[in-house]
Amino acid sequence: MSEENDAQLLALFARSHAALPSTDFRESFGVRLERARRIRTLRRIALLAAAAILAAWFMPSILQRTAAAAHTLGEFSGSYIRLVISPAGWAVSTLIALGVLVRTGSLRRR
Amino acid sequence: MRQGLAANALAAASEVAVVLLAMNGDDAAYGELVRRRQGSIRNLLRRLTRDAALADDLAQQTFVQGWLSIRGLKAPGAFAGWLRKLAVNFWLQNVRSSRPEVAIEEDLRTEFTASGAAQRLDLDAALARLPGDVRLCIVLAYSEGLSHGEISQTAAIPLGTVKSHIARGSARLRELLQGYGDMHV
Repeated sequence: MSEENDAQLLALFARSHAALPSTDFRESFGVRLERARRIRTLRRIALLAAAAILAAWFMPSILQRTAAAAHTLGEFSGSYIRLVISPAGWAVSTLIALGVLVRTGSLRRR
Repeated sequence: MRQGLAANALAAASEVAVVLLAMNGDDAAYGELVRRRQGSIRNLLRRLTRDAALADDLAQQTFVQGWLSIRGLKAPGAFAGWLRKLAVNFWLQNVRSSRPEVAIEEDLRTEFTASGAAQRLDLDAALARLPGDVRLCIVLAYSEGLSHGEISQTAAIPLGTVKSHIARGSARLRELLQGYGDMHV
């Protein structure tokens, strides 16, 4: 409770607080809730339908782009693998591994 | 409504437990929350609107909105305050969409002077003479028992403004009620 509230007003508010009958209110609330539930269900169905239509609409182009991207990646990784397994690639990767071991201190005597 | 727990078990359960059930989609639990909270929400809105039918309509909108968005409630213990805030928001929306508050005040002033000082002015009528945001602060402080900080959060009004509204509103309310002999508790 607030530090500045008037005691007389507080008592007046407390005295005039009405106990309200709830039956009618809860009955009409039930009707309104049922309507809200129906609207929510319809909205969800509409959203799902819209999502399905959009997916069907865009799916061919998405699949096409994904296939093109996978193809490009495959070509790139093929040439990369050939480079790594060449003698020069082996030498460079060994040097990198040595560099990592030196930096992490794994080669130091304990 | 789908039955989660038996009605008497729900009635005996703590509010936090019932709120948790309602947050998990138990409609019977939400019905129990409506049963428990309808009185306070309707009383709050009756104080703010001074119109029983409108207050009940806003209270029902509040409970429907509560049912729709209860899953978004952060803490079950905050349910009462969250619901009160929803009710206040619905009232504010209604005030903004209806005719200007000043016009209502003018109407009441005319009624006041026309009927003379002999007419008894009850608490709700006196509240209706306060500007909307002052009335809101007064009702939340005296009827709902909220602190100034809580009022500031519920009504989205700066703390300093809340304090001045309550000081100003209390003085005006005392003045109005004393003028009509309704202040003797």
